[in-house]
Amino acid sequence: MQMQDDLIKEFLAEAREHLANMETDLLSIEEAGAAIDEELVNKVFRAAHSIKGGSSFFGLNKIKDLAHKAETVLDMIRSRKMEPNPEITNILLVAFDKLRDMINNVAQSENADISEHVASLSNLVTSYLPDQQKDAINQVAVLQSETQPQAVGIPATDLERARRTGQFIYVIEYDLIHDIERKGKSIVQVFNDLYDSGEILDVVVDYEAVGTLDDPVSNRIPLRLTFATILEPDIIGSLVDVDEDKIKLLFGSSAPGEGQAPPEFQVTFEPPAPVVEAAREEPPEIPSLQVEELPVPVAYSIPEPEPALAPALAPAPVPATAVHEAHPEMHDAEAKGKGSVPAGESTLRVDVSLLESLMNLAGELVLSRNQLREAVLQNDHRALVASSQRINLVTSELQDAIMQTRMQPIGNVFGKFPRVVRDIARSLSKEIQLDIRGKDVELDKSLVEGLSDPLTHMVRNAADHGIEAPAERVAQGKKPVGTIRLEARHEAGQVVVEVADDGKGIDPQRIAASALKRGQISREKLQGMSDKDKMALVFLPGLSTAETVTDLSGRGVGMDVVKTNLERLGGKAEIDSEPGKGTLFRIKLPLTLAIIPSLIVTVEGERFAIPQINVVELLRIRAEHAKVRIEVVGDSEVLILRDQLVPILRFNDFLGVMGTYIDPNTGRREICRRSRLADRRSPHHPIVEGAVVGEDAAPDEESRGDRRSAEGRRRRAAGDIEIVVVTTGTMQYGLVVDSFQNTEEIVVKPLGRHMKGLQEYAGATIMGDGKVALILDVTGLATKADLTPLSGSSRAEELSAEAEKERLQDTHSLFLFYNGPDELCATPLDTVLRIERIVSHQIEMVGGRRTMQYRGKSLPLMALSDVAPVQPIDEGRDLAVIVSSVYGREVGLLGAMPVDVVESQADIDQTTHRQNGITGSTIIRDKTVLLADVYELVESLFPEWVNRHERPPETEDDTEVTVLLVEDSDFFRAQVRRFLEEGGYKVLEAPDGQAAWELLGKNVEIVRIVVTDIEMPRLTGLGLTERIRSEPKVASLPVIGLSSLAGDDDIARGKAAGINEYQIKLDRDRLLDAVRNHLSMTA
Amino acid sequence: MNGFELKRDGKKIDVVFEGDLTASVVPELRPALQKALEEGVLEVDFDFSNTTVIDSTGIGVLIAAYNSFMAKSGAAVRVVRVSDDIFRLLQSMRLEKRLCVTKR
Repeated sequence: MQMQDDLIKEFLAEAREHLANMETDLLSIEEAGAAIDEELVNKVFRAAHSIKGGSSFFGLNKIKDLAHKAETVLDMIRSRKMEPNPEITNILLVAFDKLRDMINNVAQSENADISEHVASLSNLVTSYLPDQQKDAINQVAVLQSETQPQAVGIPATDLERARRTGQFIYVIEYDLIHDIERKGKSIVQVFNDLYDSGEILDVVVDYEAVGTLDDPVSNRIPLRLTFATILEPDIIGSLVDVDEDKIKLLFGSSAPGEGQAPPEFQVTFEPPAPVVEAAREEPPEIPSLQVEELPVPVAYSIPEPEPALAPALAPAPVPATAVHEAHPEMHDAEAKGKGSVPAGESTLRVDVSLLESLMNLAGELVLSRNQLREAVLQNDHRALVASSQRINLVTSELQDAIMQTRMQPIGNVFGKFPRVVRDIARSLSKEIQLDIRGKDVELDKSLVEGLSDPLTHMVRNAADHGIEAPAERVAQGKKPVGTIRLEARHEAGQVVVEVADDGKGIDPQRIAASALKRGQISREKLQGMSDKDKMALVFLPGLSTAETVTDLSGRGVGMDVVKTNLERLGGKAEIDSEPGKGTLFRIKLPLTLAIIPSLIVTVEGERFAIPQINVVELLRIRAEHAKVRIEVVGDSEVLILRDQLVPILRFNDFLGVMGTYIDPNTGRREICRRSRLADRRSPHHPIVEGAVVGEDAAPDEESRGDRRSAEGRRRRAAGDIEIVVVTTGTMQYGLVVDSFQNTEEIVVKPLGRHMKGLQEYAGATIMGDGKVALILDVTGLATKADLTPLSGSSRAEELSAEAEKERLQDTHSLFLFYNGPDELCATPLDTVLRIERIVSHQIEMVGGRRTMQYRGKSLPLMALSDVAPVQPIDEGRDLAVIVSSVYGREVGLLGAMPVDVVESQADIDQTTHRQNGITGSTIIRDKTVLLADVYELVESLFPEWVNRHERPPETEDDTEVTVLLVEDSDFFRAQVRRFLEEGGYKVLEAPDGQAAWELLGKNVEIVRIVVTDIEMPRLTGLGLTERIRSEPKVASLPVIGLSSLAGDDDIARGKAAGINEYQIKLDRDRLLDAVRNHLSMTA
Repeated sequence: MNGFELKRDGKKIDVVFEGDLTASVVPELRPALQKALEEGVLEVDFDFSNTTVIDSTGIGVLIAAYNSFMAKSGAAVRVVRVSDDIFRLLQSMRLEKRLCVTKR
């Protein structure tokens, strides 16, 4: 049972192997046309033939039948009766596709419908046979040999086929009584076995020997079988259980294609053996013989189809259930196999010599172990060293050898592309030449399998969308035939696979525009992107929707999936393209996934492995250079690396470990207080501080200290900063570690269940000392640490990009001042016109109101304590007057020095401290800050100002005018909402463009104007505006953009998108004016 | 219970097997057929309606019967109503034409 199971698996694996290269070969055959490459045709023929043989052995009749038909056609090609052309190749390709399907789903293969394929193959055969040769099918050849003096007739076509396929033809004398009945066998089984392993060309029952009813009961029923099989003479006996002398070789095989019968066989063509008594029709014209070396052209026609062939050709007479009964284990195996790994992945063919060497190495290992045990027992140090060396040697060799068993040529994947390209080219009427290079490059089996899908996608894209139609190509001065190059090669310990086409290329601007339109990237980010970065946007998810297909000619379809798949394999994808010239996708893959070379680093005594493939360079920044090389941009540190800025991630910060260092004076481990690598201001934190060293540091650090200084500058001085510049493929960043160790080949072990979710680690490994080191996933680390690529190359660009980045986040610029001595207050900087420093005596109390003379006028002054129950302002201190414009008039808010301006991204709490005059609070520098609201202050202190303010224009039906307010920051949204409501408008709120668009859809009747922030998640304000402008129902709605700071560029872009006007976020009066103006314009 | 039943109709005889045609049936069958032959029967129909298995001895007796009856002119031996399996077997042995085998 098990045996059969294994055999089936083996057969299937082999069949897949045969089929794998079928397409390429068939296409080459088609290409060669009349100039047939016999070797190649033979190869394909043999593939079909062995599939036929195997499947019939297992009773897979449908597979056998189809393979048989394909074999016949290939045979005709080989014998040059048929000249390969695209039509023939197509039929064969389709037939082999079907075969592959059936083999991949072998349990169902008996139910498969192959009639169509069989019919088209049969038609092909008959249509190519000259009329007389159709008769030749029925020709009978008579064979004789020294061992088989009695002439045996077999159909000439069978003989010819046997000759070419390298089959042997045997004459086997069975005796039904002796060889079957007395051996306890069933005749049916005997015949089935024969059918399974070959073809029964003829059977002659010796009627004479049986005798008549009058004769004594016969003990002989001789049966003479003519049997064609690939089984060789030395093994035929295992199939046919008869005395050796009863098996006679009638026809020996020679190498296929050579086809000359060995001289001891005499082949003549004769009238059919008397068995065939039904020959009653006129013999047809004697056809010219196709077998030149058999020059006795006598032919007879047999009107009925050859009976021997009937079982093979007719629908299988064995009911399907019988097959299942015969092979229940196969059924089981398939049932078990379903849903798990396809059988192809569970087996591997390995060169026997490789197995031998593995065996040898295993033996070596055992010897070394014995040696080691002996050495340990004897406590013999020298022997220990020797055996450790030996084990070291053997292990590396063993590792290499095992790795080799997993290595497979990438050609296994490449093999299918000629077909893919050909099919696409045919269906799109393009001319495409596929140039495959580096088929022999070997990769780990799992990688080869995993590459298949992504590569197919890329090749298909290249053929489908990359290569233009011939006419278009000619018009552009290109050759009409497009070329797709598929190349694999080794490069720096990795395998590089390239898919290049000379088609229309990818326009980075169009991709950028599309990504922008989809809200996947902000305009600000795009500005800093190089063309190459923009092209890499094709890997963004979602660029694959139908809408984008037209936009991008479909180049982005599913590329994100490709990327994800490749990343799963540990590979990286890059894209390069020049519009009009072509596109190049480059995939970089590790050779194997199981053992990877890695750089070991230590951070706070822990060791970590960084895969070498991610490491770009190692930097040691001298303490004295730190100031120059490390810059603080915004809130983060960046490394100036030649002309680039690289973000820095401090690994111990990231881990949340307190940094320590060895104090160079005391030798003690101290907590490092330096908050920034490049800190320079504070004298308390000397820039030169102890090297932070790994676990090996403590005891022997000091002893090494002297040696170090003796060794001079090559050693790391205290305070030097060690940075590993790593790449994720899309970006680079610097990882600050405590020290570099060596590079090692590490064995990747998966992380345990509890740590599976940590995206910053790719796995773990066990180091030589038995300790565990985590393997860093630099991509995950960057994501986790929120690092964004600093693209572009010049520093100026970087800094502006950084500013842009700041702007993208909801940053509040706050003006800080004191009210009471410890009462820190703030007001949004947007509302501040000017700051005036005054002394308390400049304040005048006139008519119960505080004023001061300011620019020749009287400036009303107010203090927070006038309205809210806060401490009174400390008038003894230096004071600041914060001048704002409220309801069209200038007003001053009193505050105490010192004042400051901060950028804060902290949340604004709008409930805890909310009261009249105070909008809320936030935390800045660990202190609670009250946010003053100048509008509320004015409303409380100068209520008459408000009444003077104009109301919104009257609507016809006298209802409130509805404003759609779109803003992602809760704080700003609440503020602006209040402005608008105070202005007499009804407000609908949405937290982002997408929500706004949906809200607008529902309220299309009442919304009269849209006020929107620009930078928002999901859909930006610009995106929202574009949508509004493109939807006729709402296209004429006024849109006012809100921005913290609107540069000329922003205004231009906003205008382009259809924004009517820009307003500063918290400038209430201007905003209300703008709203009113636009409403009256449209009214 | 001979394993078969003979139905005689003038010069024609129907041999209807009650079950399989195996070595156990043959000792009775041969004399019965010999007798029919002597009595001038020219046509024999072996009816396999109830038969699912035939063994070598069974085949032997069919061939022997063929050899005996066909020696006479105007004789006919048929094997009728055979199962698919048996048909396939007889076909494999190229017996189906001579023995005029027809399926059920």
